Amino acid sequence: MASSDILRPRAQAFARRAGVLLFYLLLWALLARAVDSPLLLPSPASVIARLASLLPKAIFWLTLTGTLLRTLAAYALGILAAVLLAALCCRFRTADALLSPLLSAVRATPVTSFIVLALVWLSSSRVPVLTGFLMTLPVVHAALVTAVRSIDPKLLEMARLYRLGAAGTLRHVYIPAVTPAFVDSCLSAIGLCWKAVVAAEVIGVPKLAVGSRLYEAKIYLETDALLAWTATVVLLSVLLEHALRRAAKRFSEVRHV
Amino acid sequence: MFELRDVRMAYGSKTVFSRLSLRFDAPGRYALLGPSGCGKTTLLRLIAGLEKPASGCVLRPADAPIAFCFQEDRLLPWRTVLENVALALPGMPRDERLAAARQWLARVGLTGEGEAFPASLSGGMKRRAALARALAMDAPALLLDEPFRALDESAHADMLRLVHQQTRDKLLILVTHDERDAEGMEIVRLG
Repeated sequence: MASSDILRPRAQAFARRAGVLLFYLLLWALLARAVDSPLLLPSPASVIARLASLLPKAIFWLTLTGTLLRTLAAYALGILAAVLLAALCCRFRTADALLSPLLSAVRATPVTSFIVLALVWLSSSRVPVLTGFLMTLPVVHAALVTAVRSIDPKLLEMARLYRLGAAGTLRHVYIPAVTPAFVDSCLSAIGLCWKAVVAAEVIGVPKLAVGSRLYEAKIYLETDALLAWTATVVLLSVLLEHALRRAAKRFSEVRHV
Repeated sequence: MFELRDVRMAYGSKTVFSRLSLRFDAPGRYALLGPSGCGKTTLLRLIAGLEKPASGCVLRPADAPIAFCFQEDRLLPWRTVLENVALALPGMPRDERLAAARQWLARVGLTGEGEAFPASLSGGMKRRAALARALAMDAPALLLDEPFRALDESAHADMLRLVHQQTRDKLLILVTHDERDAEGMEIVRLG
């Protein structure tokens, strides 16, 4: 196949996405003109101009880095805890009986309840990490426990008879069997974690945080700044998810070599 | 090597055996014959220690490895055929393990299929891969549950010959529906 034939579908997909983006920008511009109030709905041009004015400032990048680090810390801790607790729940019934209702309650509790409660206990810079952690943990934990429980017992019986041992069974049966569900849950959790961290920042207003800038924009009625920061958050979230997807794809390719 | 004494085995209200006593000595070749549902697989699982009898006891050497070819292939779907066979060869450096597994695949007529995943193999090929894994284990006892199912006549004869070659000084217990497989073996009829 010629390289131009490979590029053509990619170029078409890119053009389609650009077309969709352009359509919504146009719709936004028309609505902004109809509303005719920059306070209620600023035009795309004014939001882009605001974003452009933020880009050269060091504080903009420091703020983004602050939020990104909090999100990654919450995400990594959430995944680590989910793996450890899932292993405990699958191994010991008592641990499962104790933890499952707790994690179900965490899943069902509104994120704002956690944020407000956590603000009573922790400093405002730590609350977003705890909130992101609590959003990541139950999603990954539930996926892992379900995946472990759906492993074919016949394969485990085979592993026992062929004397693979605990480490061999983990390596050859458990890990490959749960990896697809684990990767999917991690990909779902990153979006939740990101949103929870920013929401906690809006309420807790820590230093160097996107959420704090959103809060300030709301206080000072700077709707264009609010939308500029929101667009930045969305873009960063999409980029992070895309990077994770690529990493997950690379990981699954390596596993099969 | 294995002995069943007064074994009773039941699944719920259905009794599979009652007061069954049998002895399997090594070296020796035994063919378990009988109609479907008579308990051939259950007997094999009892010998391997995969089932516990409702009463009576099964005597087996402590810690003796048993190579088992299950009725289903039980190949790991996320490992290549070569890696599946290599699982039965622990305690060797990886390269040696894979080389030995490759030889076993050649013996069962699966040369060139080592890098394939089980899902891409036919039923007969999976059966041969499962048999290669059991033979590769080189255990003193080999329990085979319908290992030639889904094989054509020629492959069936080849695999039977290979099994006999590899179990000359071992204990072989073969579950089969085909009386021809039992030729030259001690026959145990169930049901």
